Amino acid sequence: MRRGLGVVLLVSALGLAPRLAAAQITEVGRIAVPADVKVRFLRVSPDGRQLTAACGDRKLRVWSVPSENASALLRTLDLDGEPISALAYSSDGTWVGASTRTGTVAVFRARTGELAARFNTSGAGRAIRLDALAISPDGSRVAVAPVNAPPELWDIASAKRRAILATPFGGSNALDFSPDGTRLASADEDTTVRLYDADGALRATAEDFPLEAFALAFTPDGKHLVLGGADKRVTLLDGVTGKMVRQFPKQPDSIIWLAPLRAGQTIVSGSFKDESMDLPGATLAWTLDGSAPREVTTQQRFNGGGAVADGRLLLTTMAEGAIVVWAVR
Amino acid sequence: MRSVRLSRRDLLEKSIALGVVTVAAGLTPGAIAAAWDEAAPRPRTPENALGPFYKKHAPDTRTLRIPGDSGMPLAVSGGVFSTRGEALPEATVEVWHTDNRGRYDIDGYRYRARFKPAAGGTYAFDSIMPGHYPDRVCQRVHYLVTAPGHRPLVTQLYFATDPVFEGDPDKNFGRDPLITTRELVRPVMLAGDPGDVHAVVTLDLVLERL
Repeated sequence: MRRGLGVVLLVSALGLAPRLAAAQITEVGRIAVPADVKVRFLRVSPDGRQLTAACGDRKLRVWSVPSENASALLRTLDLDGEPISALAYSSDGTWVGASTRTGTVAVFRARTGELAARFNTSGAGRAIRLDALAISPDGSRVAVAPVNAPPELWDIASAKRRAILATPFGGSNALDFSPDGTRLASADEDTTVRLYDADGALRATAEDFPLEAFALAFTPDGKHLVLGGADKRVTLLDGVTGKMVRQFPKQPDSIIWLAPLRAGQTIVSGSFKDESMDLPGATLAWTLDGSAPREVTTQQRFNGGGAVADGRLLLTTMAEGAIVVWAVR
Repeated sequence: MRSVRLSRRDLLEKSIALGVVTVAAGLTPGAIAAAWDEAAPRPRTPENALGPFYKKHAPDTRTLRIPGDSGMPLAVSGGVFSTRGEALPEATVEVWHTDNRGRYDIDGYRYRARFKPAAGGTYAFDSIMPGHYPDRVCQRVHYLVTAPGHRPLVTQLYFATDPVFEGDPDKNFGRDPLITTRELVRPVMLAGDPGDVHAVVTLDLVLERL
């Protein structure tokens, strides 16, 4: 045991402690955002063809994802000035939804922008902020996360609540449906990750985490759940049982967003510093086979992002509100 | 003339501060108020957001402040009750807050604690005045209170002396969008002697039965 400690000390003294390999990242373009508009956050469609951005003027803007550095504003969607709190595409890309700080959910057909449903989830006459949402692949259900309350499952067509999910206290930070729509996962503020069936019945829990996860996503094959959060780790769970499959090394910063690259085999994570959730930290690329994470290095820090499915590009809202397109290798 | 409605606790605290009521050594205002209010029905303590940075497995302690810590010493006390007014000594109280620079200890357990109330349902802990976390407007202490047969209470304690309120919390408590009720903004009494001033704050925690 002493010998092992000596080796560790020697390695540290020589500066040989494991370091992150840097991924190559190159800015290849910017999406032309109107000068008076600031992009707050965005989501990229699963097929990588479009992105929807929540903008500071309380409108949604949909752009085609650039090819050869050309992009087009496809449409602007108006929620009558309600402040947008979260965005989500269904895993098949058919639907895109938005939630607001006043409890409204709006679901659109992603291809056309046609409004499929709009309703308010608040009860008792008081607007309840929604912190996250997820849309089932068949477009029949939406899961929402009211602030400081259990997540809820709503029927989109009837605008009726189907179920209140099973958290004992606090709210939920992130929600995602499995690609086949049979499971819903929630990363809850009580630090537990919960797996439900399509009707909202609790099927599995993962309670091994001392701190909350802020981001959670099923891998495209639905076999795994990837999560990251205040514990500064990316963790891979079994997508059915919730059992831990792999936990990656702890990093200096808390993880706030996750974006899949290369069909889900690589995950890019964004983070924030301990000093403030508004102070972006390192952006890392994680290969799910267990190799060490690679730091995605630029002079700039990302404060939100999405990625196209083929993994060539990472799109990120920058502090100044622009959308920048990066090639990651 | 503007009418002022004081709760019995507020009235007691004011009376102590003005010297109308003399308190025997060793009794805290929280303990006296708890005895005074014993078994009287109580309104549920308003809920407030849980996060950020709730952390499980906090240490069992009532002393969050250690010698040398920066920041004004803070003594918080109160009672844990049901809405029927029954003391809940079987409850578990979890508290956490930032250091005086406004930073949460995410890697460790500084300024985090978990404890049981005393037999009469009273609780007290010593800490420091938290700083301002940049992503939030006001200074705060987070609470998670659980008790068998009762709905968990998630709330936060705010300080009437917070500079954000500019001395008028009645008017300005809404400057923090997370503060939905003036009730959670508590008066701060300064106690001790000039060489050892500390802030004294009370907050009762009233849980609803399931």
